[in-house]
Amino acid sequence: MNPGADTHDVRRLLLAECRLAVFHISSYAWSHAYQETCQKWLNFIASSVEHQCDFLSGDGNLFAQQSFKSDDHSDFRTSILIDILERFLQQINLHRSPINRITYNVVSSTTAADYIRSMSGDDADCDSMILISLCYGKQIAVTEARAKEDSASADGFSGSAFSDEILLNDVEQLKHLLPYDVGLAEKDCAWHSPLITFAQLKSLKNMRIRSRESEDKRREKWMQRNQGYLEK
Amino acid sequence: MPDGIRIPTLQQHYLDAQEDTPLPIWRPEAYFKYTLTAELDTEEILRLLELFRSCLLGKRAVQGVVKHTKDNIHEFQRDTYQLGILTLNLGHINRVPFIGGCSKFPKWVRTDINHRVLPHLVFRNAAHIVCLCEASDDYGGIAVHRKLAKEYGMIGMVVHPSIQSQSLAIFIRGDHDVGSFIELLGHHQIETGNKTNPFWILHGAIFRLCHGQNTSGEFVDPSTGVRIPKPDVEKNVESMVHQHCRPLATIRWTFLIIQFVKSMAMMILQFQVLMYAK
Repeated sequence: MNPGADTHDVRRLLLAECRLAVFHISSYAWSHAYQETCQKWLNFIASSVEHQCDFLSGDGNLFAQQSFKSDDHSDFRTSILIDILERFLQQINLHRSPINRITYNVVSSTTAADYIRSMSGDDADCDSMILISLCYGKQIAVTEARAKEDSASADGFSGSAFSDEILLNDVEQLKHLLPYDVGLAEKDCAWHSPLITFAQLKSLKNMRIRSRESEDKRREKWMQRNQGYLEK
Repeated sequence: MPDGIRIPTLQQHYLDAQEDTPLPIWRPEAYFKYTLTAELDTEEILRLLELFRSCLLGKRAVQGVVKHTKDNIHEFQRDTYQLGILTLNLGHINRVPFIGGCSKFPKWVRTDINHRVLPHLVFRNAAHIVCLCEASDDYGGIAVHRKLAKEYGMIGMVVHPSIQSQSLAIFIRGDHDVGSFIELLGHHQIETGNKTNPFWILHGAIFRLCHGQNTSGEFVDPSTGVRIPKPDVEKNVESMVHQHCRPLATIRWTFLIIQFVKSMAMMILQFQVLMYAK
């Protein structure tokens, strides 16, 4: 065991505590206070980064679906919320060493089919719940992975802040729920699709936590295979 | 479905009737139209409500592998590489459920707040953390379902704004007994600044969440990833996660009110002691 680490706290994503910002942006603000809301969103993400928030989660309404008012088609990856976040993190990363850069990843409650439709410029029924992960390299595994990378930012160019250092796996099936499935009235429009996401570190992608029994079983299986190869 | 069964059980709905592929979702006829000749009996109604409430768990509701409750909380107080986060905006959380999208449930369901569906969705899922927008309504919002949160092994915090927006809430698996806690680090309540009739534009809250202590009796060997029995090591108090000793953000008034109530209670207690001494 690492002598410096506490051995009694539960760790998820290799962290004993995480920080999470929940937000809700008014749908009315899209048509009546677009510019001001964008400014306040910038303040909010600055505050979240200041508090070392690991995740930002909430309902962005049209701000999480479109980039500009005049746009006919956008998607959550190019929406104004993500655009502002991207530019903000790029500026921060310019002044940080590559190993201490801040990266983000994002998922939305928009179904895969609608996302593809919106990407190709067709009409799509996009949903507005989004989850953004921010990765500061708090975990040793992330720092180690960053140290192994070839960096293009040594000359001052930091590139996009988007990265899959934290993998966000969202459950597609729940995005297809209908009002009938949750016992709501068929014309009920006051709810959004649930967005359930499992965050995992890319550096731990192929690692599994196993019980002693399953580890023994796995070893036995591989020993049998190796034995088979030797006999051939 | 077998003859005579109008509302399937969880097993029939999520396992027997589903194909191997995850989509499309099979749905019984009662989900879409309520044209049954006879009224549903009590057992069928309760079964239908259970179906609605389990929709975020799917077949895992039947297999029971991820069903977190207060009874098995220690099984889940252990390390995981993954972190599950559920983001929800369900509208008013205490809305009355419907059968088939339009037919009313009997009055005993409609009038009892414990027979709602949406509050169960917040807790009955596989996530470690649940974020909820629109956590308040005319019936007390999600805050009236504290017992339900406890039943599912979760603790939470609801943040009410002083502007016209809806409340926000957050929930985490764990319990105060095992050291889980939630702190409010920041609160952003923003209205328009240059309008004659100001309206809210953004409501946000920043939380610090601690998963609590490992009470499962197992640790993960960092070199192999294998769960091993808890080694006999002393708790490293210096590096463990600590709760701040006082509220941190925008709840100054609440803090002052609590202090006032505390001092009043102390005065009353002292007065009672004096009276008793006399």
